[in-house]
Amino acid sequence: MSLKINDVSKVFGGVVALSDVSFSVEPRSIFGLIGPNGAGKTTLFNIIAGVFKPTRGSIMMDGRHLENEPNYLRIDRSIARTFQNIRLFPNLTVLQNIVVGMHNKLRCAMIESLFRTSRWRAEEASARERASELLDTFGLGDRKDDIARSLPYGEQRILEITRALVTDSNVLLLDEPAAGLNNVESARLVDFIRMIRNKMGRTILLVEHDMNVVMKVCEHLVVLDHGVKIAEGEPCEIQKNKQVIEAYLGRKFADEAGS
Amino acid sequence: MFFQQLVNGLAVGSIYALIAIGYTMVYGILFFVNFAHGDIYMLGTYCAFFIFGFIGIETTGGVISVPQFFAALLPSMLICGAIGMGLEKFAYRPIRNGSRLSAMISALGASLFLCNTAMYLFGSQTKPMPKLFAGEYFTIGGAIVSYIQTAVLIVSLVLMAALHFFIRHTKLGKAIRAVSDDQRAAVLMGIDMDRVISATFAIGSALAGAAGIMVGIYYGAVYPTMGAVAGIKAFTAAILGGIGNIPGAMVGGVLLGIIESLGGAYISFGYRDAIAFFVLIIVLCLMPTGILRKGRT
Amino acid sequence: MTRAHGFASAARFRAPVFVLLLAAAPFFIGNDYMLHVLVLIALYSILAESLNVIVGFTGQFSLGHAGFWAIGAYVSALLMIRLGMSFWSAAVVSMAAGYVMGVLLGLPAMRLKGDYLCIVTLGFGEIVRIFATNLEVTRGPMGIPGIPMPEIGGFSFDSERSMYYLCWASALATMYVAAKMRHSRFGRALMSVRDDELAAASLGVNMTYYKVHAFGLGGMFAALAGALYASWTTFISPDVFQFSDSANIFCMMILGGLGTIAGPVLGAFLLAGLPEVLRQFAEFRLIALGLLMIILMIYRPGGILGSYDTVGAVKKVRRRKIDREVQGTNVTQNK
Repeated sequence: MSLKINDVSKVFGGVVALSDVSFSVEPRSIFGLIGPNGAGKTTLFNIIAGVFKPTRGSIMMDGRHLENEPNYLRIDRSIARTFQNIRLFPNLTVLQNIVVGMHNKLRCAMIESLFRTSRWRAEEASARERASELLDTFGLGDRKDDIARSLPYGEQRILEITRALVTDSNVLLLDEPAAGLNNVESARLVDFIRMIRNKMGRTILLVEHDMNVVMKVCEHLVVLDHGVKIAEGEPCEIQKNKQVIEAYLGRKFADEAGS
Repeated sequence: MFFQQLVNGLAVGSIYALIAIGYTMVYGILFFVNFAHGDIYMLGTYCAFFIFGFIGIETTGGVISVPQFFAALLPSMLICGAIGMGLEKFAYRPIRNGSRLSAMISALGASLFLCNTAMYLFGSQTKPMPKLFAGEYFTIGGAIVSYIQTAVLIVSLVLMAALHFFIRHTKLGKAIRAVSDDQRAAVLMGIDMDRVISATFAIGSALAGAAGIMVGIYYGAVYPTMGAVAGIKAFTAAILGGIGNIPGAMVGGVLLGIIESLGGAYISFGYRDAIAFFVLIIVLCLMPTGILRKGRT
Repeated sequence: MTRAHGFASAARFRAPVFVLLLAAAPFFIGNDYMLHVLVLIALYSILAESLNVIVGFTGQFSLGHAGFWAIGAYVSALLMIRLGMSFWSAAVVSMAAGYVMGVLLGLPAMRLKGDYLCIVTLGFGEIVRIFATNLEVTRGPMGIPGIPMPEIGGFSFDSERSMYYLCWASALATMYVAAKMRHSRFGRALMSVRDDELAAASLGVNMTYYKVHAFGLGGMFAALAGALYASWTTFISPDVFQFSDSANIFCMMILGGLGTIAGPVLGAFLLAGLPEVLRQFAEFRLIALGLLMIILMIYRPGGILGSYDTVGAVKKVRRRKIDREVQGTNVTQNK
């Protein structure tokens, strides 16, 4: 289950948002995609998540081409995602949000729910049980019957990640998971992400602005600038990379840092 | 025959266009469909009916002169504009920050209210309207063009041109454009939203009132439920042209009128309206935001 | 403790009471006119509840519901008269027809949203009516008289009271399906599409499939109401199925409470029942009804039983707009 991005380019009406970006995400890694504003991170993220099609290049998962598949099939390829500005199902309960995450695992047709067949009852019960367990694990257990929109922001973020987890996808795409979180919540998030990898063995690819979080949690980074990959490596290497510093802070700082 | 149907379609279409402008202007600013708009158009026809009665014209078989026509047109437009402003103030302003669904239901409620009030006050039966030019006509290239069709076309074009000038060159017009472009920015620039929205309703309703009079005279009849069908047609025209877009509403209205006449003549008269809707559905599936989409200038 | 829980347990408590009241009502109501009004309410309940599947559960606008109603009525009536089918098999076929038409109407919903979808569905309702007015087989504006009543084993549903039970049984069945659907994989997928299409897709929900089938189900139950209506009144004509009926059904659903189970039925009692009961007030009743709709939307925009967050739905629209803007700036900055 390795994810490969091969020479991906994206052009929006003549504007080149990405040109020939390639990298591969190793299984069980925590992989960061960073870059200054407008570097093309979000575009690339959306291509991996299936929202956009790349103009050229391919996205491969276990040797299978994904670039022309619609986004709802990503789950079948074991790729789940979260959103930058949290997209829960605001009118459903916390528990229902999680159960929708099990969409592809449940098998009962609607008609079985009408006749309350034993299969349906067993399936619903086990789905609820599994969802409750997960919510308990992540500290949302006593909010499971609340309407999702009533949760505080930090908990909504956790809920969204939990919902992606329950799909049992091997790869989790996190779009700016620390956006809008305070320091305490960010620290909790870092632990949370580590736990997902260490205890559940998932692969994590995240796009993030908060360098604190990135440097703490990521093991491998790809840096984009103006749609081009300018560096790749471990966080400590990236921190020293002249081109990266230049992209973020301008040439003057890069020279100072280099000298 | 083709040219004849084109002429008929143009006359009816220019009336649809006048009503469609009201839908599209309100949509451009408040993002909801004002279902009561068709009923304001109906009230416009009744205004003219009573004004003709007041100045002593026999409504059955009576003939009005051009000055008499304008004597009815202008006050009716004013009254309809005022009704539109009142409607906005009482039915839509309190829920402006609510959802579009509640605005839509409120609009349907307002439509029910206006239509049934008219029925109560004026009676539900169809009443005759006087004629303009007593059926005189001329011919171009074999097509019969009646004076009334010409008048409808000219008055519609003049009103649309006036609206275009107003929107482009006056301060209030520019404010309306600014609000429909970017509401937040417009408010930050000090534009008074309440005033702009009131003006939008007033203008749209006045144009619907004008359309109402012309239809009343064109078909020689007025009845309380006449707003429903015309409203649906004009709404269709507004969507066809790309809702929120004023030139789009004009193009959409004329286009719808022509499609209907040609479809009615060449395919089947009974299926005339169905043809218009089929065309609409096909256009929307190919161009999901209408022919002229709303773009920033 | 929480809102969602409170609603669920309250519904469980009220449902048997409601059923008992309905079952007992004919024994206390002496005159056929009141029963007649209650049958009408039952039919509108089915219509509003089935529209609720499309609008309240799935979040798709539809202003052409009277079209499905008409299809159900005409298909059932013609099958009974022309082919001599029984009411039961005719009703099943008409429901199938409603489903197919719903799926067809759902296809444009893949590409269209909000008001554009509104006008397409409105156009659908009008097209159905225009066809009914012009086709030979439907006898045009003259309509179809002499539609047979349902019969089972020698028992004919020819009295107002027997139709009352049949129609309310159908209405309760529709409510049951809607209520159970919310706790199925299918129903949750519909609600997830309503709340956030993109998030639903990211969890593997095939939006197109669910939108189309929501229209199918909505169309199917509306067709059932049509079949019942045709046999109940024994006469149908195109005038019955106007745009104003579609709008009326829509209002019932919203006034009662969008996305709830009891809401559309309450709406049917209000909008179909009150005008009949207040018949002696003639024109005033519809004037008052219009005012009532405006006032309700001002003071209770979520409907009388509403729990669905309509204000939230608007915020969602705005948020999406901001998303687009953000994406737009990303693109321009990438120059």
